[in-house]
Amino acid sequence: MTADNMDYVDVSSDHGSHPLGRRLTVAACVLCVVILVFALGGCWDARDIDHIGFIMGMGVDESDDGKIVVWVQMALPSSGPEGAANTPAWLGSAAGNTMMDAMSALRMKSAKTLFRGHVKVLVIGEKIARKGLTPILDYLARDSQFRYNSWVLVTSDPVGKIFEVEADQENMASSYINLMMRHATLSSVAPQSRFRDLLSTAAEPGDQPVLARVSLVKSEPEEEEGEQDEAQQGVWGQRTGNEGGKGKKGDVETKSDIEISGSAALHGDLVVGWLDPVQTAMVLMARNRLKEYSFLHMVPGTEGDTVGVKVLHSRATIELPPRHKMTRTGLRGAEVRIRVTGCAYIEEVMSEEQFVSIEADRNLSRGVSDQIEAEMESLIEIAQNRLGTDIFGIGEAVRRRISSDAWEEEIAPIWRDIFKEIKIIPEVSLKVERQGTTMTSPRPQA
Amino acid sequence: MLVAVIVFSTGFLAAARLLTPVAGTAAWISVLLGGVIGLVIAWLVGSVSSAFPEQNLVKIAEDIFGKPFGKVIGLTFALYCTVVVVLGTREFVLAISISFLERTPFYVTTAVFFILASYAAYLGIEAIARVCFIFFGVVIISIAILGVFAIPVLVPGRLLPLAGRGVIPIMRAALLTASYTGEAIVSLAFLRHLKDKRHVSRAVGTGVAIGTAIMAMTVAYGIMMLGTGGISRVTYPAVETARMVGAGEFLERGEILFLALWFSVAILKLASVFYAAITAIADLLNLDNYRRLILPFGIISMVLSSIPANVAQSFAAVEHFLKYTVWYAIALPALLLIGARMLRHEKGGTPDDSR
Repeated sequence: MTADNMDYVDVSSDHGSHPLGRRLTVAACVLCVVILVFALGGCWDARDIDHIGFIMGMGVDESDDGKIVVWVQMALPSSGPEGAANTPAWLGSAAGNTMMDAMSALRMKSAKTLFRGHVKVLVIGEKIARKGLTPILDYLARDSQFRYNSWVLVTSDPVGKIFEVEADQENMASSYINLMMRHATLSSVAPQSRFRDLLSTAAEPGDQPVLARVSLVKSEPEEEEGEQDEAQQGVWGQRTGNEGGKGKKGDVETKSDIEISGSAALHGDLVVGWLDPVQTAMVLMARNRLKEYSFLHMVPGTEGDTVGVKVLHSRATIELPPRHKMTRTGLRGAEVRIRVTGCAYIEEVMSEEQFVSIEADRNLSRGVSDQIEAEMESLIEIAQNRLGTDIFGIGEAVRRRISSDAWEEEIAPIWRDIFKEIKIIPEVSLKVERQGTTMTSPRPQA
Repeated sequence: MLVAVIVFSTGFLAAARLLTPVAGTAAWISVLLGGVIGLVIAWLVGSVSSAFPEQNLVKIAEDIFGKPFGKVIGLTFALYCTVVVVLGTREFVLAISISFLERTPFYVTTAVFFILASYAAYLGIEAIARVCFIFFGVVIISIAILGVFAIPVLVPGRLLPLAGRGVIPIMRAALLTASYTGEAIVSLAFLRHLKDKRHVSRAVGTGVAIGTAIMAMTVAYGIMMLGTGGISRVTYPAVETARMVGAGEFLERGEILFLALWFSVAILKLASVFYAAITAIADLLNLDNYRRLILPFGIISMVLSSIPANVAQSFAAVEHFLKYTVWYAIALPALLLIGARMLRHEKGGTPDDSR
């Protein structure tokens, strides 16, 4: 009803006019107030915040005996002044036949209720990822607490060791990975792999997801810092049940650090291989998900001269065969072009050539485009022959052009085979548009 | 507004899940087509109401078809409203319990629903309509905020191909949607309370159009965020799409806030349908005061709404409801209008004059 028509005749004139009705109304109101006094105070189903364990990171992998192992990193807020108590987290793990089984076992090891509403990262081990993510997805997708915005990463290193890392910048590995992912996705060395992205693409054969890869790396050895730190480390060890990702070698500690670069390619729910950071950037470029991408371009005809280039805006379009050829037979061997256009900025010039002339600028644009094209060709070869998965989203482009029935009944079931036989041709045309705030490199004179 | 709330407030939770398997990517177009059918129903409802401006549904039916057949029509209307109340309550209670109140027994949430709906019905349709004025705007703003924050997560290409599974599936899904928009016939129970009865069809039509637009947007957003495969998998697409939305790191788990707001309009819908049901029953039984029926009807409805024990049974019941009730929603006002025209033709002048 519109506002103009919202004038109602009063139909409640006899409301509460009867004495008995009035008494009943008062009695009902008193009863409601009494109930609310207890209910609003939380007397019925109170959950004290001190008894809730806020899980910040979860890890899943498969043990040698085929069981699913779950790790949780739980924040332990300190009541003392900040920094006084270095007890940032509790790392627990448990094994079970399924995710639910493992989580049930984990609950028995924790004095606090495991609350999954604050999970920032989910780290999946390679072993289980290569066997299939379905058991993990099923459990977490049903869980109303689990956050869809959590990052999902895959690692070939031991999952527990990832969570044991205590970086200088951030004590808790989960928070550290969360911060690193925000930067890694901005610079396109890792894909934006949130749980929601995985859920929405994993079921689409023509739109296979890539998940960010997290690895352990050895950081520079550091000298022992004294007894006080050693004692402190002892406290951490008790709390976290580990040595904080540090291993002692005499007086020198080798410390593990975390690196996020590259990605894992999926086919359905299986991880089928790894992509390095350059390949990951190419995938993101082909799928219009590239935020920025910096790389060194070797200047042709020089001895090791380089130009640092950043691609900031790119647009990829997939050119498919005519619609009548988009059948299960017509698509086999068909030509599909991935056209990429965009602009690149010069960030650094390590060459005598300063690219100020129109000709040099044009040559640089062509050279940069050729380099990207070559990297994309290499990735296409890997995707079609080694991985066998449509990481470019060509199948999704086909699905959008044909009827739903034709896609679901004829093409989707055999899309993986068709994808391997398609002739994919990349065509890259990037233009170098900006030179930075100086046209030529500063040349100090002695 | 009240009609808009009746049309969308419970249906939009799971509409995408029920429509997408039928129409594919074109499910949102089906909703719009269902809205067109809803507009036709709104016109029929408005025409009937204009012909009998001071009568409620049972009295209209009795005037046109005589007492016995009029009572039968009134009974079917009361049953229809009861089914809408029962299924609507169950759907919303399940959505809340599964998504948030995991440990709260279903009957507690159901009881809260019915206590609030009963109290609103006790106060009368005017109170319900005035509260609707307040909450409707808030809910629209909440949906708009969600819509804006969801933009980074949207993949518009997932709406392609526009034709989805083809014209016939789109029409089938449109008929299912028309069951939601057809719930506008509930307003036959309270349109007589309007002071300004000159543009009833337009008022009901506006409500249907607003409700349809909200449902179409919800379905389209669901497809763009989850894809057709994802939509068919999740229990309540509207809740899942709200879960996916996050503005940076400062607004997460916003669906809890939004569902609390949606809860308020769902109660308003159930309260108005509850009111329609008990006033129809009161007219059938020739009771002076409909309020005597609030307690027994509330208890019976609460018990009935507990019959679908789980989501699967609830969805099966909703699917049956959607499949068949569209015809009732079209037939009831059409039958009344035809009857009214025939009556006027027989006796000359307006049906009101003839009484």
